[in-house]
Amino acid sequence: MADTMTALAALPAFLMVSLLLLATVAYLFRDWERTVAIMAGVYTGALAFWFWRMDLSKPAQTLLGRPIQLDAPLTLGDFTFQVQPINAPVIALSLAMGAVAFLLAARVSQGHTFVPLGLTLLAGYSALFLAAEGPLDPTLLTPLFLIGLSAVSAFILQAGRIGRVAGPLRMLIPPTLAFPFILVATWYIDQIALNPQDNQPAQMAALFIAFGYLLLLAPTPLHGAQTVSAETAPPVAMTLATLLYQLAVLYMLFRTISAFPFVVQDAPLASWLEWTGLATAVWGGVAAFGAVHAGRLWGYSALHDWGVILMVLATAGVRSLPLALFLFGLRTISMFTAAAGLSVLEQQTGGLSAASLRGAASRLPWNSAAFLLGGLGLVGFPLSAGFPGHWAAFQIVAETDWRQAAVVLIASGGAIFSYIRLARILFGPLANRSLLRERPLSAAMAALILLVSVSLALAPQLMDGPVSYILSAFNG
Amino acid sequence: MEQLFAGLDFFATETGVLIIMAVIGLMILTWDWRVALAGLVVVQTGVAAMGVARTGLPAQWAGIQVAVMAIAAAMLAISAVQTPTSRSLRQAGNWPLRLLAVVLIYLAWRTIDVTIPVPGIAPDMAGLFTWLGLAMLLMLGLSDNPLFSVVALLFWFIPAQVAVAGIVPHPGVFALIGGLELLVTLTASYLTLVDRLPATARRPVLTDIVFPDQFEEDWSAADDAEEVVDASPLPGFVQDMVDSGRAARRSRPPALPVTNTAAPALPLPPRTPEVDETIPEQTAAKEQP
Repeated sequence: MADTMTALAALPAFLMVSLLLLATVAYLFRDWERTVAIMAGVYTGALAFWFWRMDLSKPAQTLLGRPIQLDAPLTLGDFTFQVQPINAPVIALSLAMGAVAFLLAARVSQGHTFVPLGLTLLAGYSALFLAAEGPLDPTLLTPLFLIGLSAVSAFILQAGRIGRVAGPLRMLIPPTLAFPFILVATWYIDQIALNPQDNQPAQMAALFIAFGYLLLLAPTPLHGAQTVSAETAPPVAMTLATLLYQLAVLYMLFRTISAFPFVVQDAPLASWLEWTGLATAVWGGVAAFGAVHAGRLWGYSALHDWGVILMVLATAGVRSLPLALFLFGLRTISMFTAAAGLSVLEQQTGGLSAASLRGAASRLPWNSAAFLLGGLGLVGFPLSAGFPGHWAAFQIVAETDWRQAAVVLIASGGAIFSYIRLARILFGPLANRSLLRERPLSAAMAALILLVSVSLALAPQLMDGPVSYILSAFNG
Repeated sequence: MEQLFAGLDFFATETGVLIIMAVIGLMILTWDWRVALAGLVVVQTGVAAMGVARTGLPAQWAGIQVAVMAIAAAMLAISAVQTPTSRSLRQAGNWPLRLLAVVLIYLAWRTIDVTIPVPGIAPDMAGLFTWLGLAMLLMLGLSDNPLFSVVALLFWFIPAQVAVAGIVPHPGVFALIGGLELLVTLTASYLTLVDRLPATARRPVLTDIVFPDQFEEDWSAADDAEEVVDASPLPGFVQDMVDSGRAARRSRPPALPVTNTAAPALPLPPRTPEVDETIPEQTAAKEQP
């Protein structure tokens, strides 16, 4: 009994158990969707703030009058979980994403099970970030964690909607494909220790790990989950599931590189990332050019942005990682901005096809603007949140090969053209005269999100502090 | 457990490998959920038996692997039986197309002769694993159907688990992979139900304010997709053959009865259409004067 209490007093146990308990309560009271969403948003927001402000240089602290040891480990079976300076900022970021998603879900329903499963997802990702030891190095078990978390995400993305299931289904594919490659690499890693003079095991291990992580990053043609989910899933749910997955892959990639430096030296990971990133960015732009469905357009814009991040990761040098994190931060803001607008548009108009949205901006101006500005941020349009990051990325890529930067710029132009076309549809003559006007609270929330987005566009240096803090986590 | 797998050691021979490869090909060709799920268990049993005989996979671990796959197949079967349409909404072409695809992939593979090198696995076994990987990619490429997609993903789990059992002989990792197999199958079972249920759509009334493009959609698909519960134990194509055979027998003229030809034929009463008493509309119509 005393051991159980000691284990529960550990911070990892407190974090995971409290999230799972809240998920259980949220499931039992899932019919009170708005109340449950607000409760979950406030709790995860408070946790995010606590983790963000946490000073792990003084691990002995008091919580609610009780002494706690912040870095006390929790051992469950073969796994050990521990809060460390390298994972606290990432946990804070993931919890903050959850808080924003739950508060947006209080405005527009994302499905009855979104909040309980979203909390479960946060507990799962926290476990992945907190894993310090396991039967294997936790970085090598990442795909197995991600298979389980993608399976949970599939339920959120489907949200009980009868119809196309390709998005949630395809989410399972990259981690399932990747896990044997990364686990096979463990055998070669063991061989390195047996014969340090032989370089071949290190090369093989590097190849297997690099290829496995390339699959996990899901560049084109493994991108299907992101674009189809954007079309069919509830927008906020899609944003949360996608961003958590991508944050986890980026973080675990850097932990892997930190633990096994030969992955970068002995495998052409940078070259693979460069070319697959280019293909992803170009395909995202080209497909967005042909997309009329608002959700599909948003999905391909997000894909274009992801391609740019992959290209930046491939660039060697000290600027690569901070810029990738800067881009990911701006991506988070742009995606949530677009999702906030899109969810209201979907709810009010009954769909996201061009016919449904015709003239909708005359009744829903703030949410339409949020969708357009968020979407344009994903393709780096000037005066949007994504512009500073994309501009810096183009400069870095152009230093290596200006033709690649030019091709990506042209591709982003295709997506921008598509947004202009959709803006004309949205602000054109109203087709559905029974469309209700947006409520003041909904408009105020959209305006607030727009304000954040525009502020970052005008003063990108606001991101310096958060990016520097998260950078400490990624650098290990 | 050892005795069970000792009895199945023919899977470790060249003939056994060919049988497993043929079963995989048959699963793709028929594209029927019953064949796919039965084939999945056969392939898992065969690979597990091969692992026990050739790589030193503990028989208990192999038995657990087969049990997990049987549970996964049962979960998928329960979902498939509950779906109201006999065929997937996303059928993967017809059988000649799939035959061509299988033959093309097989020939390309034999021509290029690529085998994934797995430590501790013999080349012919690695060849079978490569064929399983190619079959997985082919099945994923052919359709977005959740049931067949998860069968493809389980194809990937089968060799991976045997290989990992040799490389990482840790029961925790083995159990974790088995648990994930079940979780992925559970997700796919849910998606199978959601995918195959016909969307209930109400045909819009044509008025001046209804957009014409709302009538361009195929409403007949939603109308036709209900009331056909495919829970027969036979695969669809076998059931079709049985049904067509029955129909042919019914259409044959009946044998003439032996009658007294001297007697004059009595005039038959006029035929009335048969009324199904279980359908209230027909019963009501019959009762009306």
